[in-house]
Order: sequence, then C-alpha cells, then structure tokens
Amino acid sequence: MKSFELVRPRTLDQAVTELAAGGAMPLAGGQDLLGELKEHLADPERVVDLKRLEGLDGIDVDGEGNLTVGALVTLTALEEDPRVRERFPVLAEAAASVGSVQIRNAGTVGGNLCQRPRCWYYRTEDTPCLKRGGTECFSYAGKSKYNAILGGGPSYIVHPSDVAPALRVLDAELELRGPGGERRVPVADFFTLPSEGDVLKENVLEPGEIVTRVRVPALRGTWRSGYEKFRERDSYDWALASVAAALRVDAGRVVEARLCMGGVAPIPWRVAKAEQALLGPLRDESAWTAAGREMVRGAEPLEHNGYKVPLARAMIVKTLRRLTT
Amino acid sequence: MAARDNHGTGAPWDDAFRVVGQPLRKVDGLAKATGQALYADDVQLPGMLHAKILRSPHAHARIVSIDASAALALPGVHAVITGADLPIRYGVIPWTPDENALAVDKVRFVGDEVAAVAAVDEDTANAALDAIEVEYEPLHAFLDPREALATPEPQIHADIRGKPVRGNVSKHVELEFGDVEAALAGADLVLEGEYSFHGSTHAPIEPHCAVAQVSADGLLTLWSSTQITHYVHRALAQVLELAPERIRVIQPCLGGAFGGKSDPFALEFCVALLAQRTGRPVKMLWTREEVFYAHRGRHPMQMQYRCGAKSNGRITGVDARILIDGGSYSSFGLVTTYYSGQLLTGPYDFPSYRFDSTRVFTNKPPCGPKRGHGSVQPRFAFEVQFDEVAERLGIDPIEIRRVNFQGDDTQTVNGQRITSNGFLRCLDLVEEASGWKQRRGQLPYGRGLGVAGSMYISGTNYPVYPNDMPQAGIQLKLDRSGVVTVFTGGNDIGQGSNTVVRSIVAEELGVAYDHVRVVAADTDLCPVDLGAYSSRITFMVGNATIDACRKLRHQIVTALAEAWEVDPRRIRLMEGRAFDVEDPDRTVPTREAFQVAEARFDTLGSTGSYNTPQLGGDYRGGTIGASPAYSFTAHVVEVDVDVETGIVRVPAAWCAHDCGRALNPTLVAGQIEGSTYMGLAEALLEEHGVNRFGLHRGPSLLDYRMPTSLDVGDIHAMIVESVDPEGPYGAKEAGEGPLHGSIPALANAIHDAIGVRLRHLPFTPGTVLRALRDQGGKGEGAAVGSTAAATSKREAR
Repeated sequence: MKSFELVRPRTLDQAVTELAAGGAMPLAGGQDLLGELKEHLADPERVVDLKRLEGLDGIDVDGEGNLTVGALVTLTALEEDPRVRERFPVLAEAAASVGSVQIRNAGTVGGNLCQRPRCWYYRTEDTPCLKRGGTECFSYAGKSKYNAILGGGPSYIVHPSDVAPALRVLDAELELRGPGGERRVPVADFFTLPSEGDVLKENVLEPGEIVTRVRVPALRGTWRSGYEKFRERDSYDWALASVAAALRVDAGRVVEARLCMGGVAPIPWRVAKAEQALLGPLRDESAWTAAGREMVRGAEPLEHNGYKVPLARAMIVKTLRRLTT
Repeated sequence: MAARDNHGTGAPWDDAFRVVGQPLRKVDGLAKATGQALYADDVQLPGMLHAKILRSPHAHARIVSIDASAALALPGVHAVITGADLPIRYGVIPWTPDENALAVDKVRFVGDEVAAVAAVDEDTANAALDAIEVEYEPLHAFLDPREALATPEPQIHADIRGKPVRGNVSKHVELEFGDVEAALAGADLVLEGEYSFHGSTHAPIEPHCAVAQVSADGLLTLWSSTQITHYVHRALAQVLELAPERIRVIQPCLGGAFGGKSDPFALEFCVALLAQRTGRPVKMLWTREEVFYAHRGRHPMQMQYRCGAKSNGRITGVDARILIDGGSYSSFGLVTTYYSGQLLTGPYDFPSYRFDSTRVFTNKPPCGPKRGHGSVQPRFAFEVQFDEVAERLGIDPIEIRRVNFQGDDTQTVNGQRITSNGFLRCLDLVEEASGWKQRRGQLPYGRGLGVAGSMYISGTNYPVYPNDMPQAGIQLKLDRSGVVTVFTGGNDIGQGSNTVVRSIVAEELGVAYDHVRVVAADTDLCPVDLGAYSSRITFMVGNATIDACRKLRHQIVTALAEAWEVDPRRIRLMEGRAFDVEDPDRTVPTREAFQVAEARFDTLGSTGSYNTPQLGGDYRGGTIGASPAYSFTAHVVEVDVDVETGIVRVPAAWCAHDCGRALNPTLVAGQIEGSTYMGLAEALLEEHGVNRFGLHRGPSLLDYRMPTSLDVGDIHAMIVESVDPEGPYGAKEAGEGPLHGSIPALANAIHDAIGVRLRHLPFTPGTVLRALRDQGGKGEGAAVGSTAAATSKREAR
C-alpha cells in the first residue's frame, strides 16, 4: 500500500470538495477499498473518510411506508432492521448474503453498490486489464468461469453487488451528491454496461460524486419477495448467479412480477419478458421455466462459464418455488 | 547403533499406559490460543532490515540484464542482490539441484525470484524493487505438460548437476511387477479409463518468513518457518559456501506447512546473504500472493488406468500411465514420480502391476509435496475405477475391497514389507457408522454414499541424501529439579510432534506431563532429525525417544534399587513417583529418584536414535516408498447433489484410520478430520492454476476458495489400533493417510447419487452440470457403464 493523506471531513460539502479535487477516493467501510490499496489497484493521493459525516447512517420508514437507507448504513444494520425484514425481505436477504459477518459489520450499503469488480484479471496488478486502462478484456479468451454471460463486451465483468439486484426489483432510487449538487438516479439507470458507459467505471457517478441515500418506494398490495444467491463457498464469496424476485399476489395470482439477476452480467440484469411470463397462477412451474428462458435469452457464454446458463435458469425456478410455497 | 524394534509395543511399566492414549493438551496449545506463541515474524532484532524479492513477470524468459543502480541509490536501501551473488544451484533432492535462490540467466515461471533488496522498512524495499530494471528476452512458455513433453525446445532446464536433460522431462520411471498383459488377458473384466487431478496448494495460515543474523564472530543464525531444519542447514552451507559449523537454523513456532515448507526457499538464502552483506539482521516475510507463487503443491496428473478383475472381484492386474505436471523446478519431483506408482500396492493384493510415470517441467509455479505426496492423485484414479469394477461385476463396493485385502505381515507385489494392517477393521467401522447396508441404494436421487480405501507410509527408509547415520536422534537431560528436557531435531509443524515426544518421556520416566520440556528444531541445540515430511516423526522420533528414555530409566532404577537395597525389577516410575512395587509404601517423588540417580551416576543425560531396517525391493528405486510400517484408511462419504445447480454438498464423511496405536487420540482425530477436510476441499473448491500467460489465476484466499466451517459437514473420525511391531508402542502415521480416500469416496458417492462418473477433478457446479447433461451413454470412454444406474435411480425418484 502506498502512503496517502487521510482526510476526515465533518460535512458533506467538505467531503465532496475534497473528493472533487482529484487524486482522492472515498472510504466508508473500507471492505473493498483497502483490498484495492493493498493490491496496488488503487493508489490515491488522498483518502476521504466518509464515516464522520452525519445523517447518512440511518434507516427510516415514513408514514406511507417509503424506506430511506443512508449510504453509511452497514449491511448488518440493514439485514437486522425489523422493518426492512418485514416489508422488503429481498433487501434484508441480499444484505445478509454478503461476504461474512465481519464484512457485513463494516461494509456499507453505499460501498456495496459502488464496489469494484472481482474479476481476477482486474484484481491482478500485473494484468493490463481493460477496466484499468488496458487494451483487452483478458477473460474473453482467458479464464472466464466467473464472468458475464449476458451484457458483456468489451468487458465481461459481473457486478459483484448483492444489494443492487434487490434494489432493482424494489424500483429504488439513489440520491447522489457531487460538486454539481444533488441528484436522484433510479437504480435502473445507475449501473452502466461497458458497451454503453465509460469502461473504466461501473456506474454513472461523476468525479467527486458519491451515493448518499437509497430511497425505496413503499410496496402497495400483497408482495412476496426474496433473494437467492448461488456461490461456491457459503461465506466470503460472490454470486455465480443470484436472483432477486418480488411478486405482487392477488387472489392466488401473480399480478405484478419483478425479477433481477446478479452474478451474470456487468449490471443487475432485469428482463421485462421474464417478468411477464410469471403473470398468472401463483404456482406455475412452466411459468418459472419460461421466465428462466427469457432471462437468459441472448446469453453468450465464454469458454468456461457456459454452466451459468442452466444455473441461472435453475436459480430462478428455485427462487420462485420458495416464494410461492 | 541406532535402536530399532527392541522396545516392544506394550506399556513400559506394566500393562496399562498412564500417559499414552490420553487426550492430552498440546505442548503449545495454550501459547497458540493466547497469542503468546512466537512465530518467525515475531522475531524482532535491533537494527533489523526488511527484505523483499523482485519476481519475474514472464513465464519463461532469458535475463538480458539487470540494473539495480537506481535501487541502490535510494535512501534507506542497504543492499541489492541478484542471481550472480548466489550462483550455486541447490535442490532438496541432491540428485536434482536445479534451483537458484535468485534466477541466473533465466526465469522459469511468473513469480520466479530475480533480485532481493534489504532496506530500512518494507515500503522502502518495495520502492527499491520498482527501481530495479530488468531486461528480459521472452521465450516460449510451456503451460501444458503434453506440449512440454512433445516439444524438446526451448528447454526449461538444459542441464541438472552437469547432466543434460532430455527435452523437458524431469523424471521418468517405468516399473513392472509380474506380467500385466497376461494378467489382463486372463481377467473376466478389464476397465480402461482416463482420470485427471488438478493442482492444489497448501495455503498454510502462516506465510513463509525468515530472519537472519550474523554475529560479530561470523556465526549465521537463521530463524525460518521451515518444516525441515536439517535440509535448510545443509542447503545454506552449500549455497553460501559456509562451513556447517558456522550456521545455526531455528524453526520457531510454525503456522502450518502441509508439505509447503519442505524445500529450502529463496528467502532463506537471501536474508542470510543480505545479513552477511549489511552486517545487520534481515527479515523477509512473504505476502500471501508470494506463498501462492512459492507453491510446491499438489502435482496435476493426467492418468490412464487399466484394471483387470475376475468375476469374483479379485484383481488380476493394474496398469497405470501417468503424466505429471511438475512446474518449473524439480523440488521433490524425483520422489513424487516414484510415489505416483509405488504407493498404490495396498491395501489390496495386486498380483501384477505396472506403472509408467513421467514428470515434465512446465513454466508454472513448482509443484512439490502436499499432504499425501504423490499418491493422492493415483489413489483417486484407481479407487474410482475400482468402484466401477465393482459396479460392473455387481459386487458391493465395500465387499470388493474386502475380497482384495492383502492381509497383514505380507509383502506387496513391488517388494514392500507390510507389517500390521487394520484395513478390514477400518472398512467394518465406516460401513457400520455410515449405515451403509441400510442406506446405500435407498437414498433419494441426488443423495448417495461412496467408499474408498488407501495406504500410506510412516516415513521412508530413503533418507534424501545417502548416509549411514540415524534418521532420528534425540537427547534427554534431567536433573535434581525433577524436570526432563528433551532436545529433538523433529519439526513440530502443528501436527503435535513435540506433544508426542513429551507424552513418551512422561510415560517412560513416570514424570508428570508438564515436567517435560521440549526443545525442538534448533540445529545448535538438538540432535539431527530429518524433519517433518513423509509422516515420519511420530514413528521415527518416537522410537528414538523410547530408546533414550530406556537408557536413563536404567540408571534411575539402578540407583534407586541400590539405595533401597531391592531388586531393580521391583522399581516403578509412574505418575510423578518412584516406588517399590512389592512395598508401595516405600515411595519418593520422581524428583528425589532423579537426585539419587544424579548422586550415583553424576550428571544425567542420554541420547536415543532410530534408523530404518533394510527395506524395499531389490531394484532401482525399490527403497523409495519403502516404509517400516504402513497406515491404512477407509472412507465413506455421503453427498447431496443439487442436480439443478450442480453443487455438491457433503453432509457427512466417515473416516476410519489404522494408526497402529493412538499415542494421543485427540491429535489423531484432529489429523483424520483435517486430512478429510483438506481432501474434500481440493476436490470441490480449491484450484491452483495459471492463465494463458502463466500468471496465477488468483493468488489470494478470496480467489483460492478454501471451505469455511459453513461448507463442511460432519466428519466422523474413527481410530483403528493394529499395534504395529515396528512403531513406538505400535504407533504408525496419522497425518497424511486419512486424506487419500476422501476424494475418490466423494466421486463414488456422486456416482451413487446421480449415476454420473466424474473422472476429472475438481467437481465444480459447472463440471457436475456438464456431466449430467452428457450422461446417458455419451460420456467419455468407460462412462457408458453408468447409464443403467442413472436410469434406474431416476425412475425410483
């Protein structure tokens, strides 16, 4: 790790100013940044510690049931909040699936959304990975077991966040704060495909801009939601394929369905046709299979990740089986 | 002369053991649990410098030039050394010295050591590494052992010990015992199959670390996280051209090794030379990433097996052809190549056997000994094929293993002497405990049980370098304080060898367990022992310890008998007291007994030693793999396969291990559990490999997935005590044998669960899904046999 100057602002304005000055990176729980520093993937001149900012570590539910989560809320706090567990189980389950207890105790919601890819080419200092300014995505012709089957090219990372697919099916919005002020961006528009956005980034954050809050609109009606994560190891691991699902149920029928996958694409992967396939009787295995088919339609596996196609379909079926039982 | 086999297998004083067999705490257990244990990285010396190594970014390249002037000019940098400073080649096997501490002329894998820097702190040393300019001329890199075998140029090693190397072949061994072709021709069933074992590494929790200090009078002291102090001592003398008497090597408390700290490593030579050059103590602690590069882990093997059997299940012959991917250096590879064939000839009787093993160099991190050195991979292949033989012949997989049992007090087809053999008892135990008879075949689709058997050595009579001196030596000192101090060259690497030594001394001399102090693995203080490898320490050091104790015991008993004017045969030393067995009221604490003996015989001390008997077949290589006693193991593994996602869970595994006698059942059970865990881990999760540039695929503990407690089911450890005539009180090894069968038992359980034969490790979800997709007669080679079972199981669903 190279030496850096640690800045510990008290106010959001100060923090944004420090970050906008260049050569600076934000630090919250540090669960990703410290690894990047140690591996020499990031060499900031200044690290701006956000943990002293006030008002960003709370979970609030207003009278209408809308949820607001501060970016500094730890994953443990999110996972354990009774209101989140009751009203938005998909979010609590996603938070609970991250890393390990220690990581969730330190890691924050904002950090989970903004963490960098886990692709081993990206994580190896000696590889001139496309996402670190290199010329080639090495997973394309290399070891691709953990890489994207959907939405890939020119980079084939998968987004590592578990919280993101959950927020995506909750139609959440993110509150951002930067040198240009505050703005709100739907989670749907926050993450960017490498073919569409800046390949060096995974989201629309501008230089100096940070996520400050997550806003989740209340769910009206009767909803069932959940998060299923498939990983090789039961802790300290990322999804090979995960499914966030939310179903509005009325009179034994699914009247609204939202379905989003993690671990298969550079962004949380939500497919409208897959959701439409689920409308109808509550327990309809053929609908789950159809949803799975729609979800992976157009998948282009690389050499070593073809298994993710049947795996993704299986995870959708498993998730829906659980939610409708 | 070294003592052997003259102590019997019983308790030293009467029928019952007092200490041996008790679940006693480890010597260093509390120190480790409380953080007081001192590891190599805890060594802090005044004025100490920190060293770092520059590593090759190329898998194979010629070094054109190295310019370290800018690094040397940096403030705080004290010295930079390169291959030119350490030109003498070494290797742990004296016949294959092909390593330099720092690369000379060539680098052979990504991570090969090129230069080392000593500086005031690690940051400065790292900055200095960045300032070293190395010009490379890349060469073709061999990452595929088949290509390396087929293509002689460019050679990874042109010569070793002055002898030209044939292409990229590291070692080739071909041995045949009996007439295999005739035996296969006479079989009712011959199966042929291809199997492969991927690479895996040890991942000890403590990274390699070494600290060197040179005293004012020129004595070099090295603290190193090694598991073989003696070989490091020898290698330092050779490479540094120092007389052995100028070198002291100390192994502090060690945080795991598993074979990965058996070789002399670059860091030991580098800190030694840097300490000589700078006149200051120098420490080097490798990062986790560097531990992955240092590797010396499990060799990937591509294996073809043919097995012939009669319709009653009796094996007629086994034929193996094995391609071993050695990585970039020889390490223990000569032994690995022999072990890949020599250690398969039990617990079953092979009437005929042939193996043809070829180890080739590739431009990857060097492979070496990992727990179950050389024999885990062939055991996987054979036991999976053997399971299929049983299936084809309609014989229960446990029964076919009984049918072929070789027996005890026998000789294997390749000339190895088998003494005790508790394999049948192991099979009985796992069969019973797993509910095999009631449950196998009755479990729902996706769940299954599998079995495997195995054997392993308790040390070997091949002492790495030829000599007539004992393999194990030990020294005892006791005095009027009542304390017995034991000096052993044995390396306690967490397996508990110091605890075993303490137990034996307490048993033999009748002193309280905590009155025995163990000083270990310090070449100045301790007699030579060959170190912690090949599961030799309990067996060999244990025998040496009994030898030393019996000599001292004789003096104490004699002195006491004279003082009490009784027959020495009436004297007992037990549980902290000496007494007259015919007049138990006549008794003193052992401390007083020691005082009587010290007065009678002067200062008290003794030495003990052990050497192996003449063993092994009368042919070249016949002594490699020849052991004074073999351990035997049976595993049953239960699996739960999710056929939708391909994930394989192991809710339970049963392992029964014949360790001769359990000197400390807690330690034995720990070894059984740890071995079984390690085997299942490498079968399901762990993979050590490189990408197409030869760069390690994930040199971190996040990317190299070791199972956590959440991923491991119940491991039931069962101990079988066959009481071997050669071992200390009948003990044999326990540290490596119980790994072998876990992997094939897992594969066989998967077959039982889903009707698919997996022949290629690791068993990842992707592998399982693909095998499921391909099943139904479309599998490769002999896989067709699985179709019937798969179909019937599905229908039963």
